[in-house]
Amino acid sequence: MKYPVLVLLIMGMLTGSGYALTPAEQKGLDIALETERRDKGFENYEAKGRMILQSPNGEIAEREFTMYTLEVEDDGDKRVVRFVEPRDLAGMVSLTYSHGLEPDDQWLYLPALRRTKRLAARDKTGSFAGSEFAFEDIGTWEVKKYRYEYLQDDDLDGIATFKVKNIPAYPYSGYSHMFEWVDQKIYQPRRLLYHDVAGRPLKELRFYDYRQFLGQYWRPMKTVMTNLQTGAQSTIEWSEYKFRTSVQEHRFNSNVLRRWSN
Amino acid sequence: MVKLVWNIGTVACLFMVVFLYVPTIAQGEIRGNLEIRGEYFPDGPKFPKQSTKRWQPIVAGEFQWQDEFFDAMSSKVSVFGKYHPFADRELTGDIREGWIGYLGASSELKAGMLNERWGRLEAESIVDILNPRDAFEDFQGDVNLGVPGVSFSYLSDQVQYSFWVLPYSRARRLARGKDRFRLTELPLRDENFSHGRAYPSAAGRITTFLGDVEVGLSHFYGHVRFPSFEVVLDAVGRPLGLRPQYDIINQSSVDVLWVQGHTLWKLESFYQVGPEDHFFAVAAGVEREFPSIAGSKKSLTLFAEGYYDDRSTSFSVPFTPFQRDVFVGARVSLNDFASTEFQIRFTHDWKHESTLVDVRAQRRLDRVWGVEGSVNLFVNAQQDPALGGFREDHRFQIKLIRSF
Repeated sequence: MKYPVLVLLIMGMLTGSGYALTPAEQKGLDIALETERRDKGFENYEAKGRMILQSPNGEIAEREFTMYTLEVEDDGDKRVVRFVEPRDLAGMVSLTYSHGLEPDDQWLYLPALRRTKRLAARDKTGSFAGSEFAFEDIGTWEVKKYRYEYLQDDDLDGIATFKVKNIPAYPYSGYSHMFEWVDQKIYQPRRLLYHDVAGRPLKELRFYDYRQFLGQYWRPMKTVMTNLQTGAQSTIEWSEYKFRTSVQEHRFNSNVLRRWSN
Repeated sequence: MVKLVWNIGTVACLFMVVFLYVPTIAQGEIRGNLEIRGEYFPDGPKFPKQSTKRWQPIVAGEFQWQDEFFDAMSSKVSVFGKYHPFADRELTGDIREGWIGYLGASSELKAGMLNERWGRLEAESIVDILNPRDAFEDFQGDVNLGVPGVSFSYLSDQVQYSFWVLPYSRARRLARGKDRFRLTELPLRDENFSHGRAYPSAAGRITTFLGDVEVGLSHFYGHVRFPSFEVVLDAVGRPLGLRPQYDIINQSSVDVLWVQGHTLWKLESFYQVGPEDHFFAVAAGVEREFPSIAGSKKSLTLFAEGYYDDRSTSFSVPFTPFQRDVFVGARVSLNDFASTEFQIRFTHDWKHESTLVDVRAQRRLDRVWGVEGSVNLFVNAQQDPALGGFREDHRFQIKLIRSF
């Protein structure tokens, strides 16, 4: 019963602001809700990420981290990122509580100072570990964060997709809107085209090599973010996905963040 | 030839050698860093016995090992060692952490050398009292010494209750003899603990997270961490030295952090009762981050903090460098591949009109190597009891760091 209630809440929220959904917006929202429904119930998962940063003039740098995500029933998910490489970042841990329209909460544990710091930036446009990914792109996706407008069915490299326009509904976004190509078969994004606040194309994110886990949950093995204005590129190679691990909910708490660093 | 003095520092250095040569002593993870520092003092020392060497090389390292076993059991060792040929003690070090513990779902029990940080402020967390500071390694007090003890924490939803019993008191490590950054010309004598080092200290802390607000309430009982000083006189009343005096105190404190938009508001306050005085201190600050300057990946963070402490300035009352002070600072992060960062920080004492200028820069050279530089300048510090002893200790420092 929770799913229809959520639909009604979102509908109410949109119509309550004097905004009636057009058929295209309704279909866009339906696609987002179906994406969310298919991904529900994973409880938690972890994955190792190897990020390769490439500057327009060919410089290369690497980062390695492990990402842990906890599904939260009535709010956005919680996510911990623990860095392994480069070695001066080893043991640094970030914790994010993702919320719908409310700003996310974020902390950082700095092992050299043995200190957990609350981060101030509500503007999530800041770079994640020097990459082309913004904190906004790394946070967990929530239906409520966007307004949706279905545009058309589209063929993307031989894959049937829905092309949807997403407009951030939360404050402090660095994007005016983005176009998303959603795989019609697995209901996962295949491509995202971000536009900056002036409406110019800014970045493109591509998802490759989706694999299914526990017979239900699809995850990409590679994601590539390209800055269309500078040519810089950041690639994350994902590995060792594990679902429903023994990680306990209490560990996603800023008071015990230093435990992740151990 | 290095003179070996058997203390916790020497033991820490020996541990480090073991870690260097036998990296597979355990199944757990080892990480740390080894660094070569060069320190340049453009001025000669203020006090006669201090080293006159303008260039001072230092080799230092921190090695950390941690492991988990038997499901919820865990242990951690973090040792620091430093070789400084022109220091009063050439070889120093510390076991900054070294505990074995049970880390359960809602409770945590640790025993050994503990290292805890309380507080929210950037320049100085005035409520942070559990561990004594290594003021020789960092005269600004950012480095804690490990302290032996037992801790227990219970986590309930968003509230954490923590308790510590610390059966042995350690003294703040202060510069002495040949060292730069000495407080006074008078030599430091052995410290005195009013109830003996083996007299236990105890502390309790409650922290909670209420959305945009975080609150910590703490109480500490035991030997004070920042000493008062007793002047040791000879038979005819001439001063021979200063003896750091650690008396028993009770300190209750509160620290609050509030997130408002892009801004962090911070407040710390405590009330301390000791044998010679009881006093109140408060500090408040603001931190504002500006990510993505002009659409780039660069970010700017600004800090401003004010400190007030109404303790007596008598030698018999624990000393503090943050009595009437204002701190402002700025940090620019380029968020490039090298994680390049610049900081400039000013700490101004409005009573004595002295200023500490602190400029820092750092960047990564490759996967394991990094470089850091800093400049410390003491402006108009003659009358300031906290900085007066450092006024000839303007320092340029560069570090080449190898992380592993």
